[in-house]
Amino acid sequence: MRLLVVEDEVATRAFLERSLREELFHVEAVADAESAESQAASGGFDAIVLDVMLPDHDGFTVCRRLRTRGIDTPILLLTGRQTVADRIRGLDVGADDYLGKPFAFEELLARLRAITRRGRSRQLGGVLSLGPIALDQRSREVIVDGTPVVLSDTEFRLLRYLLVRADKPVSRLDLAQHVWDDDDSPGSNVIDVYIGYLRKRLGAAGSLIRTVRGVGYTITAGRPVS
Amino acid sequence: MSDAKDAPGGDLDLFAAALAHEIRTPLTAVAGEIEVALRRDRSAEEYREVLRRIAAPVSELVAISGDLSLLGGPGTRSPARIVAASARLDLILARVAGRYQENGAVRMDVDAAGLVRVAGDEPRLGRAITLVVDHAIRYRRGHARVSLRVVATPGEARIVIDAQPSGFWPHAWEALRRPAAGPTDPLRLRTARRILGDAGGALQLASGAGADVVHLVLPRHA
Repeated sequence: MRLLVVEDEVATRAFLERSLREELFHVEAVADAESAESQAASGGFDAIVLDVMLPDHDGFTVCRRLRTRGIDTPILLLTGRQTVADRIRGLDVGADDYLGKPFAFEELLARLRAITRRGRSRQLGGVLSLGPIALDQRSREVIVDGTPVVLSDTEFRLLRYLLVRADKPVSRLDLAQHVWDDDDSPGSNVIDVYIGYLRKRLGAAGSLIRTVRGVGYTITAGRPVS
Repeated sequence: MSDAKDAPGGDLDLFAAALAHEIRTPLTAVAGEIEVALRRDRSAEEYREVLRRIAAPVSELVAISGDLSLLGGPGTRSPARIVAASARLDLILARVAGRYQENGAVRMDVDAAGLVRVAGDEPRLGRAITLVVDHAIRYRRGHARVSLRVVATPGEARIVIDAQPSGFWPHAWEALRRPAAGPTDPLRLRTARRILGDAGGALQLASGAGADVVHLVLPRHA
């Protein structure tokens, strides 16, 4: 998952970057509204954590501008302003959720899971499941046919991303951006190598990962995607 | 009936809301670092690193509490006290420079201060300068470099602060466009204004080459 963190306060930004990376998110962090808009417009983010008090424009303005430009990436507003009027304003300008400072990190993770899963019915709570595979995003456990399977960080991110987009073809570029945080090398065979590792780790369930010719990969319990 | 300043939506409410925001910012980093550190077992060195990281926001909270004491306490505007207190500007600036030593965002022309003596006490004036520089760094545009230089005349010393090449965001110094401090002003500017005012000085906004420039005016010690 790729997250854009927009926070001008150095200690908070560093804390968010480090802690979210520890949770295996790919994090890009910027400190002002202009950079946020430009990064968000470049696309590829699964969610945006947006502080309201920024030095150039406030987060409400950033949120409204992004929605006006048709950018529908889920946005979680983060702020020390916690009046009802502020919360309503945030939601009215197109934010998906609102979290007041100081916040519990666990709650931030839960809210990120919530806003990123909307419209993705396969996710239940923090667990992504498909057929015999269950991936718990909170505990980072993967269970296949009732047996725990140990995955490397990269394999975990790869499986999580495929499960979030289950039944849909996922391009190599998408995988490069969201799993490796790399925009430049979708042609590299690193993706194929890790798909191979992952299939092997999942045993028989590895066959659920299918190659979509000319596009990339998909994970599906149904018929192969053409 | 209670004082209008204490009424809902009054000055006190606005000040309390602004203050809550100032406190929440460092508190978020402290609370977050602790929570995340305790989520899983870590090595002793990792725990030490967490403690090192939370030291800065904890210091910020301590400083905010000091600022509040200052704002809530009686003023020290008596001319006798101002005359009595004398501070060496070069020493103050050297101490402030230490804080930004490894921060490429700030350039300080400390030598120009020479042996200028100004009214006021050194720790407080140092705090006022730090607060204004912190504010300048937060509100500089892009990667502008905040620069401090001292201009001394027989009657006063001015610390001139600007940001080059792109200046500050237009609303950065909005509070200084008003003649007196308001309840929604950033705490750091409010505190700096108070410290400088107590010493008979001022925090002023000027314009230079189309960009805002801030002057900390400090009367020379007699």
